[in-house]
Amino acid sequence: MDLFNDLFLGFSIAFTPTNLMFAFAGVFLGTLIGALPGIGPSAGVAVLLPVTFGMPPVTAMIMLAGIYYGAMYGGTITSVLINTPGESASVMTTLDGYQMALKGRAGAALGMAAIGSFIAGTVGVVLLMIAAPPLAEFAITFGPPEYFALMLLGLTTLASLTGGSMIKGLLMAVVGLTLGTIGIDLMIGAPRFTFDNVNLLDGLDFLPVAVGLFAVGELLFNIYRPIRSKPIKAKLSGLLPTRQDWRDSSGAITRGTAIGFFVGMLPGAGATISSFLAYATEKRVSKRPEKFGTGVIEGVAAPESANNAASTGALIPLMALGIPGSGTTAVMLGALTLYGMQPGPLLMSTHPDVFWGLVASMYIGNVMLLILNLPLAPMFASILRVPYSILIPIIIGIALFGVYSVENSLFNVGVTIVFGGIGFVMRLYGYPPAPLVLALVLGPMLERAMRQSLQMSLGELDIFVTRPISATILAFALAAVLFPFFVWLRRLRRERRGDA
Amino acid sequence: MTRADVIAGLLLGLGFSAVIWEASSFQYGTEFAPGPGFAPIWLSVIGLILTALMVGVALTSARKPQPADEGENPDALEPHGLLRVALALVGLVGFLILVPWVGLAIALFFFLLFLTLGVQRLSYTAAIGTSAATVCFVYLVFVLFLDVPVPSGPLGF
Repeated sequence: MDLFNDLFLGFSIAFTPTNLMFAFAGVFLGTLIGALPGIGPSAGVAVLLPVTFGMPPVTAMIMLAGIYYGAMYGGTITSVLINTPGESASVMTTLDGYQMALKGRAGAALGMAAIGSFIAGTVGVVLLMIAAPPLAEFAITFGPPEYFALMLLGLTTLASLTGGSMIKGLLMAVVGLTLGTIGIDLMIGAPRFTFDNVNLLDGLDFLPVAVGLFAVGELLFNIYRPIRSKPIKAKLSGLLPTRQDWRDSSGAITRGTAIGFFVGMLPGAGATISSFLAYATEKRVSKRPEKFGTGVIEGVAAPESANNAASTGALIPLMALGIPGSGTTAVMLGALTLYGMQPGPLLMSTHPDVFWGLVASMYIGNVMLLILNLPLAPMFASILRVPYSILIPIIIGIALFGVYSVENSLFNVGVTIVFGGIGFVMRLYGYPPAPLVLALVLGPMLERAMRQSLQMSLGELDIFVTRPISATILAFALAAVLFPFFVWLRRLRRERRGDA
Repeated sequence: MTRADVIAGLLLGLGFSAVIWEASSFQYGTEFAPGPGFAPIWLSVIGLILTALMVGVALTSARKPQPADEGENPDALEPHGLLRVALALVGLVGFLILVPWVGLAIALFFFLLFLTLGVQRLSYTAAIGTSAATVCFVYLVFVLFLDVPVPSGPLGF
């Protein structure tokens, strides 16, 4: 009964004209951001975060979440029409989506992606609503050692699963944690690495770093290597799926939703990995696996359902535990702290309006996304005709003004520029920015939890392994680091055996 | 893993060493708990280990014979692209220097004009139009709509 009362509270908040307007703005902007190759949801949320200042926190979170899950759909448009994923979670969609477009079925691919995203997003919200409150209630019993272990798990899984080299992922996480030590030490008040600069006393703000790495770095990379893609002249009619399309896709949507939600819920995993897994699963269970990659509709439905469900699942660790599992949710966690809220298991009891307003708005947002995307797919596709050279200055302008506006600080603009340059070099040589940003956000919390734990144990490190929950989580964190290492070792052994 | 990783490894190694050197002046621990120096020192030690691993892997892979059809050399950089990025970064620094003198909006306009004309080589019409429209849009949103006080220039905005 409580659930319905809470949901009723949520809908009473989400249905106010202001919140409806910002939910619409969020999903609309998210779709646009997703449709732009090179600008992912992390960059979109970071760049647009300053716009939400001055809004009530619930309105701001509604808009930011709208951008996040809206971007998941937007990425489909470029995947289908120009064979270039708008963001990494849409990579798998290019395999069959683009082939469908070449066969004149771009409309069907986009339509099924929208419907799959709607179903997955809505089921995801139901599961979020059911799973997050008990998890938060359970997490209230957590002490500093459990929090330390959880944050470590988030960081290690993100660093290991971020794609490319695991060493680079872990290294970026360590760099982020080290940057997180800048500023006044919260426990004894000693300044660290401030070099007598007052701007550094409060530490390095996450937003200028996130905007620099995610947005400016990416834009500089696009200046370095301009995107030259021509949308195919696809007929965008026939957006509603045929009976055969439904028959082919219903299983893919169901499996994609389940995989997406559960993988998205794991700290560090997220939309990209879930879409890969959903596609691989679909290919394995299909009666025609050889057709995958040639334009089968279930090859679009599965990853698209998975990435939308994952973006909802990723909100569970964020809202219930206060631990983000991805670059985008790290930015959202930073946003919560900027709005003066303390993320964590108490968030739902101290600010039920924020959690339940957000949940209710996601039901509405998913409906908006469906309505928006079925008839307006051609309009979103037309953004691909705007040259990227025009979009770059617009996005940089918004980013610079936005970063300044957060604290009216030119120092922060300077930080954005410096991290923009660093982000470009990282992008060029395959160093993932997400672990760095996540570590920067989690760093101070992680250090506090570690020091509090050691205070509790009078300096004995075994406190982390003698408490069952903390020990279990740490075992998972260790497995996250060691698993890719074992895979690499096995591959090396196989290669050597092959050579011999 | 490429030569760039070796250079990055050396730079990161230097950075972590500098952190250890600076953090050694902080209190390492109190009687029962770590002090402000504990985390930076141990993080840098882990960072140094990971950096050494990365450099080691890069050097090992460099010794391996490369197949003839290796494709694009990951170390090969596009000089024209790098020049464009360097110019864009110079423009960004110039923007930062200009703000106290001419205000945020006008500095942004000049930077965007430089970016679109000098770096991206757009036509005059497209460059001026894009720069002016962007500045008007952000000024409208942040200054007029969100009431953010921004540094103003001699023209009053």
